[in-house]
Amino acid sequence: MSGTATQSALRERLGQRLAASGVSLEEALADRGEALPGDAPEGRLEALLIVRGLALEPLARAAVAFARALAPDLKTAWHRQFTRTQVLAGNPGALQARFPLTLVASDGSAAFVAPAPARSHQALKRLLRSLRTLGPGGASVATEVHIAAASPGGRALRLSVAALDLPVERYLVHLNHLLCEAVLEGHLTAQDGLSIVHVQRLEALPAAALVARVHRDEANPERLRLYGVLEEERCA
Amino acid sequence: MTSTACDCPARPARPATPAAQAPLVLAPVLVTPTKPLTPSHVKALLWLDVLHKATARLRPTVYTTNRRAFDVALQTVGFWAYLDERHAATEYGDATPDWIGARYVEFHAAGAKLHPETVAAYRRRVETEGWVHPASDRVLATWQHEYGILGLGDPGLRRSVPLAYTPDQALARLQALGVLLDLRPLRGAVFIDLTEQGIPLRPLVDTNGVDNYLLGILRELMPRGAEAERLLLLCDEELAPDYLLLERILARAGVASSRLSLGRVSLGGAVRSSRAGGWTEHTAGRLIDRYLPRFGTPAFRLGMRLYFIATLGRTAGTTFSFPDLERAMVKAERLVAALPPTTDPEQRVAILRAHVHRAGYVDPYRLTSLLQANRPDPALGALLPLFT
Repeated sequence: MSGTATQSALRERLGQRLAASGVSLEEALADRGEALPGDAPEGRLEALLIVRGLALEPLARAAVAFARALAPDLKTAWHRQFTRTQVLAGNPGALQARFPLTLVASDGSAAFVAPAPARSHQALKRLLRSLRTLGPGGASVATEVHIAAASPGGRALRLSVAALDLPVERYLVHLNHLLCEAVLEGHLTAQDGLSIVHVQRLEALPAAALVARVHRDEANPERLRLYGVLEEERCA
Repeated sequence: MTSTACDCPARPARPATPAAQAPLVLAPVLVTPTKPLTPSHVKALLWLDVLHKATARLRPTVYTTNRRAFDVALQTVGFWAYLDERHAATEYGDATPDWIGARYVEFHAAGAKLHPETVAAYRRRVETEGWVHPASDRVLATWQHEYGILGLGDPGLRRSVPLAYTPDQALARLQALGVLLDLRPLRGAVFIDLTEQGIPLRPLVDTNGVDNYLLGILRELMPRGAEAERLLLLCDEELAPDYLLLERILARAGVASSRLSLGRVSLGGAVRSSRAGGWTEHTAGRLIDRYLPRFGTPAFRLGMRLYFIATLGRTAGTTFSFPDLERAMVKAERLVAALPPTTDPEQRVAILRAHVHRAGYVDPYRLTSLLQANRPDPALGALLPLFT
């Protein structure tokens, strides 16, 4: 709850992530977004996440598999552009025949389309709508969801997410960034086990955080908020 | 009140064209009674009337109309709520449709967002009692009077019965047909999903749980259509994308349907919705006042049909013109005087058969255009009862 100390730790963490993309914290905060200076909007990479519901386990597995399977160059470029992803309402099953969806979740409730300049998604986006919900929409989501078991040599990782108070589309944005960046930064390997744990609030930034999602607090844009943390499971 | 539509008993099947014997069910978009009849409405009503009367001479042709499916629409109940809030003291017995229509334009210009609970309260009255706001009641009374003068059959203008499906039944049916994207579990909206056919998602229920006009139509037409052998959907061109959607949904439900969309009448070079105003000099009432006393009933009725069906045509390309309408009246006056009033049904049937559209109805444009000829065949006198 130590507001000031927490805020400065979060600023530092966000600054590190921004620096990896060549953006200064000041620029990013002034811009109120994650714009990359000098990047023409039409050249920006954007992945698509298409959902017809919220089934966390298949969705999270799909996000991880999607990020892992991207071509190495694309991994680097997309990470540099903050794994920008647009969340759309749509039924993957109805789209599959017409559009090359990169990865469809095992239950068909979600699908990913690989990052590409926004205009190349035009035909598909013309059919769909941005997901927009009234929030909080996570009532159906379990507090703790087991995603993958660790293989020999892997670690047991825990992703703590504090975003279920937001509309589903915002929750998905934070969750997807966390999972994709964890993969792209090499913190979540095929051997690692993963659980997702939902919490009301993440206050302090753990020193051993492998990945942290720090973003403007959607309830109070003057402040930063910690939306998720990936860390190694501590033995009970 | 039951439908006043032609309810001809099915005649014994003729071997020549068995398909022509199946009843054709006409499902027109109903104009919301929130303004006077503008030229776009007059055009649609005249087209529909000729189509109905002509087709009914060849095969059973009935209307399926239910006020209530359109009265529950947001633009109708929203307007009623607006009137009650802003003009609470109005006595509608004295209000003219022009005055009510001006309030309607005001309402759209104000663009106020309706509270979902207000919408729900008005809808409850419409759904359970068939309630119609006194302003709209006043408008409907004027329309009925004008229908009489224009010689239009009543497609069921005041017919209001409980909708065939509840909203939930309609949504369940759409789900079963595999055309629904229902994001309510996420507190999201509900869409018609025909993306498989390359049609964009169409919102049906918003995130506040308020459904739009399309659901009202689906609640009525999905079950009613299933009773019909062939449905003809009639709408204006602006609604054509929604009606294409409707046609596809009905097809999935096993209902054979066709669409006829009519372009709106452009006034002063602009095609606008009646909610944008600009129609006060062109209402049905004005046209009646201007031409009926000069030309008399038969020529006036025929002249209106010649102009709105044959001259303006199906699409929206031609701008409304008083001189052209007047020319049509003069022409009609000559035709009424010149054409022998034949009542030979055989001759009439032969003419009508020659102008059946492949969707099974007599094409009003082709039929009316016959009378536009410089020296119309005297046999066409047999058609006059359909036009006057």
